[in-house]
Amino acid sequence: MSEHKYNVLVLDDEKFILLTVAACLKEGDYQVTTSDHAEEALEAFKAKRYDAILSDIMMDSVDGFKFREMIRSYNKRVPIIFLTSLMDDIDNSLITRIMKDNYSYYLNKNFTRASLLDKLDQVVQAYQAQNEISQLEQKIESDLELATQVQIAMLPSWLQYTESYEFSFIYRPLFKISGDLFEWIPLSGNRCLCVFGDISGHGIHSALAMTAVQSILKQLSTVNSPGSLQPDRILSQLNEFFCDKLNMCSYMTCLVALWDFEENTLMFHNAGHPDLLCFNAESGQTIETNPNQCGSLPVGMLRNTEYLEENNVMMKFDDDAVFFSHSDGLWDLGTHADDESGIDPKTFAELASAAAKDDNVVAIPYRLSGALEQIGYATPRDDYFLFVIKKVVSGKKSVFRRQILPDMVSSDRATLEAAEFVENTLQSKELAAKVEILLSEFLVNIVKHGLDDYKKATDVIALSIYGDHEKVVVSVLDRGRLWDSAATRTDEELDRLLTELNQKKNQSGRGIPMIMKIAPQISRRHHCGLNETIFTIKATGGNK
Amino acid sequence: MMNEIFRKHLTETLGIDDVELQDELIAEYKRTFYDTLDKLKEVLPSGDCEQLRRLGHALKGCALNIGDLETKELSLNIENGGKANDVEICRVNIDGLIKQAANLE
Repeated sequence: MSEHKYNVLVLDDEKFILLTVAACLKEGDYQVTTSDHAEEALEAFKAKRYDAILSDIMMDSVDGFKFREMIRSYNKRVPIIFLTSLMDDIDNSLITRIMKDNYSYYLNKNFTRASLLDKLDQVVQAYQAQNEISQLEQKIESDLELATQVQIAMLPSWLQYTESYEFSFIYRPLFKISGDLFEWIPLSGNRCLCVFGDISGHGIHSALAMTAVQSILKQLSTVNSPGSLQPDRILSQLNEFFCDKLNMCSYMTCLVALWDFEENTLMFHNAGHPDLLCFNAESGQTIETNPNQCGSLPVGMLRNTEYLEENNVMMKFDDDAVFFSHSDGLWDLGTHADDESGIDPKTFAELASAAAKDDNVVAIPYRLSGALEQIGYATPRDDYFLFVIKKVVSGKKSVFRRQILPDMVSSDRATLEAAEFVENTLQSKELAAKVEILLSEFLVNIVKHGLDDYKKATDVIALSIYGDHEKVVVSVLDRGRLWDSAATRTDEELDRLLTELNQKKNQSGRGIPMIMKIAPQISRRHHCGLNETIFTIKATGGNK
Repeated sequence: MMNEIFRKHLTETLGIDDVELQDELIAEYKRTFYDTLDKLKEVLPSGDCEQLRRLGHALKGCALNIGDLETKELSLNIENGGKANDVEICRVNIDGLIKQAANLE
């Protein structure tokens, strides 16, 4: 043992025993505190850190086992050595009772100094080792948590509304960190470049590789001329990075896709990744975009791999086309832990087709994931990523779309803009006023209560509104705390509640009743971490 | 005589060779012995075997730690007598302790 003194607490209702133990340990590595009362010993324990406890078993008011319970409510692992002369008539029940606790030991009262010290040394060292392991585990947990946040920060926002397209994705590491990768590079002329990747292996090394690749991709649009952002060239650059900088320690399946929503064209190059799927509204089917399986090897697999322009696939699509991208973690979803069969591609395509008919495109990855869970595919065995993108077609019904940062300034601004849209575009002042009141209450609730967890502090909220001068549908999507379903109430009940709140001059509590008064029809659903709330607001025949 | 036995035990078994400390421990042991004997004599007429057992057990533990083997045996018998609800065994061994008290003087 080192020069450091270890603190030992001794409890016995016989003063002589306390003196004897203290005298035995007087010169050595142990600082002894004695007590002849369990309550007093407990207070001493709470006041200071102890490395071991020595306790008698048979005591008048509180016996050793009861004392152990008291200690364990504060510390689950501090070693407790029971000093007992009950061992003279050993029966297994006593040993069993002592050993019920993983950190309890015993020593006969007929001990020698050597046996006492040996026992103390043994238990204190074990306790110290446990503490070190526990601290290391906490550190690893904390580092992993940070790594998770770093990865999330590297990714684009879970949804994007632009004038020409909208997309969203669901990103689920199997453990805290993932080797799945997604980067979005908006380009001029209603175009965007998306890179989907899956780095080999699991754990920290693939997560680190993911972060490195994500950094490289973020620089692409700055160091390359727009014309050189071709899928084959990007893959060549990534292959060089993997081979030179990562020393081929990993490889990555990758698909680079370049959408042009003006020309309705898609160019992509697949390097070993699951292909994009495309839902065609006319046929109602979801099909593979690369039936001939044109492509190249994963990046980082072979230094001399050539990513040729001729292996880029080009296709045209309709305005209503919905594209899906996913990592192979989707195929590894099982119905239970031992299920290795995974979901059948045909089943997935059918579910995707059904989901693609949803007007609210950004909810699709979450609804689809929810549908998979409902049919039993709820056991992930790999990192999971699912992405959906669709063109925004102008000229169809007017839709107001905003992605809102979760702060009061952004939500206030979005509320005003939404009200302006309803008044000017949908031509209803009454509905505009109702939308303004509703959103000012509801968005505050999400920001303050739903997303108050620091982990969600940067998570955007999706707002969309459409309708006409008689009716407005407001859809809000957030990834905050799961909302409870709102109980329905009649108008009279709501009026009574609001009057009561006003009379009591309550500072809070009006929000939900007011929302329910404005929007009698409220639909609330939850899909895989996404809250979807849809309000239907009708005009009462007031001014347009 | 007993003190010498006690000192030897404290030194050789428990590594306590400080004479002042030994004096303190011996004095405390004797206090415990006499207190416990008084309580045993008090409880005996009532025949409360559980209490007799507890007192015997407590004294046994102390006797072990000072090397008083005779007291340890007598206390063990009292403890066992109490456990077996045999007041007569307890009485006989309490008498033994009364005699042992003379050795402690």
